[in-house]
Amino acid sequence: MLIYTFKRLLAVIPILLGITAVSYFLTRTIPGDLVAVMLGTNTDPEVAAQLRHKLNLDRPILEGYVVWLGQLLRGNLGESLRSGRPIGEDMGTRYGRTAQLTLAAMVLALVTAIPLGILAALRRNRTVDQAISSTALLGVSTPDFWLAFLLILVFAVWLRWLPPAGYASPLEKPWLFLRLLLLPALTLGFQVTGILTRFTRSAMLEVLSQDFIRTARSKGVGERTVMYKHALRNALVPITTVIGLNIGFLLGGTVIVETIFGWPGVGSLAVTAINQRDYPVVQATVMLFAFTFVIVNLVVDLLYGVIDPRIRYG
Amino acid sequence: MTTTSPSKPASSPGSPSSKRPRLLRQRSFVLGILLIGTMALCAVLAPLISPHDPVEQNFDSTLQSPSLRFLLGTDMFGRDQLSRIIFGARISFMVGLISVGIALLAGGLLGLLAAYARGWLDNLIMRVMDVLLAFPFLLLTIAIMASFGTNLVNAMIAIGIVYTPSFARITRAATLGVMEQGFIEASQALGSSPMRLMLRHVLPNITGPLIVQTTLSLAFAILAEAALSFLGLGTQPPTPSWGLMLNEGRSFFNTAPWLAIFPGVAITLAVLGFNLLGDGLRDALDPRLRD
Repeated sequence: MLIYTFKRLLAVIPILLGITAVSYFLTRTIPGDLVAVMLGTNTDPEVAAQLRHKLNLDRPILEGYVVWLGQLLRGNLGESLRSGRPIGEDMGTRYGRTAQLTLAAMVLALVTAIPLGILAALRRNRTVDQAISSTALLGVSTPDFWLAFLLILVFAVWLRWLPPAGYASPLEKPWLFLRLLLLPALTLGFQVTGILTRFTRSAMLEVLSQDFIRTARSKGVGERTVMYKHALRNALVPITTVIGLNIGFLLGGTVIVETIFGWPGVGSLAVTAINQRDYPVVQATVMLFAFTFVIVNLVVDLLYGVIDPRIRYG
Repeated sequence: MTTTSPSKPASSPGSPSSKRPRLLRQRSFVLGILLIGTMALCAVLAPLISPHDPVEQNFDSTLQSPSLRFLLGTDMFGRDQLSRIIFGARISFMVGLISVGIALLAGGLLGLLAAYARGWLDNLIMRVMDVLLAFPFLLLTIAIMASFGTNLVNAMIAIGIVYTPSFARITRAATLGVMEQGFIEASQALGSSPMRLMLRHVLPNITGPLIVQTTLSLAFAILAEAALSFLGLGTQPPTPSWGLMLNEGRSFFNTAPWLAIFPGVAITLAVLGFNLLGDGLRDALDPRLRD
């Protein structure tokens, strides 16, 4: 297990480096003069030169990257061009809020998708399965920004059950926090619920068609035990991987969902930064999301090794 | 697998004795074709079938609820929403086809190259693809747009780049599978050039997974365009695009909920159509993945 963990950790390092490179070069490949784009064309040349120096734009691109990477490794994300404050300053707080939203969405998706997927697999091709599978496909196809408006319209505007948007600290106002969390979490988790339901169904069907299930049945094991002890346990292995992959999907979704629901996390920060052409912040947010995705999947991979010993030694 | 096993694949989309082609026995495929066909027809015939001009402003009739004159109501500029949705189909389908075309071409070439070259080139290409896959799709698209500038052409390029890695991975995996087969070795022994080998022998054998991936990517590309336009980064006004319509109408949702509902229905139906199509094609073309 130790060797497996070590190998996985080593394999992640080039990916992380690659992410920093993409994040950096993405904002350096902008056609035209980056500083002119950010400040407008009628700027004092001295101010422009200062900014150029601060962003390492006066250095060759590779050297600029190395300097920037060095600062990054020392935990320095640079400064926001708009507020002039260090980007790292409130990134932690924002990151926490994005994590709250993402986790809530994932939990909602899991508690709906796994039972529904199992049920669909057990009632394969019957009405229940068809209803579940169609709904899941509809879920996959529904754009989150549209769903957000429908939910706000129904639950906040018409029924007035929930506040339409905003954020409250879970420690100071836990009840308000939950009420504010519900709609964005539902929106964010909706597509993933569809994806996971479909995946759980096919993973269950895949396992159910295998020989050891027939063996278990033929030696007289009860149907319940076959389902839960033999089938579900094995189906959970691929499902775990898909959960990890869908974290990326959710993180991407926070960009839209946080913007609509006024959730002050990293996703809405990314959109604001892009609209304000605040490139250092764009770099930082994009990178943070990609890092999170890679780390989550690393953890999933390691868990995978715990769940399924064949992978560790394979 | 025995034929009497209770878990034998597919019983509802037609019995094995059915004479109809396998594809038409797939209910999802047929439904998808109907949905996409109708919408594509609307897109092509838009100037003929739209009841009104999609960009003409009419300040006598702003924010009207659906009526016989304006079947889906009008927006804050008095533009007919039905006509805008019909014309919006053009943008959605065009962006979908072009951006997925870019991804298919770039990803397909990279995948073929990686599988054929093996070794360090394979490693290099696939690691770069891994890195790109680590970014959330939508965020990477937006970030690319932010660098290139926000307009429709850049949106298509950005979406194309973001979906390239998926195509590269699938092409590589499928190609590696084909390369191990006997007829490839036979062709090599007969002196086929690598080009001929790829085009004549490998490509025809990997079309199945590529077609499926293309169809499913079209669904996501349409969603992505709508999302970009919704954020104001894709289609620019006054061109009618479904995502942009939702964005423009958002401040009027309380008083004019039809502005919130219909463009979303259009997006959902288009995405659903391609998803159904992709599901049906996968079941028909790739028996291993059939569930």
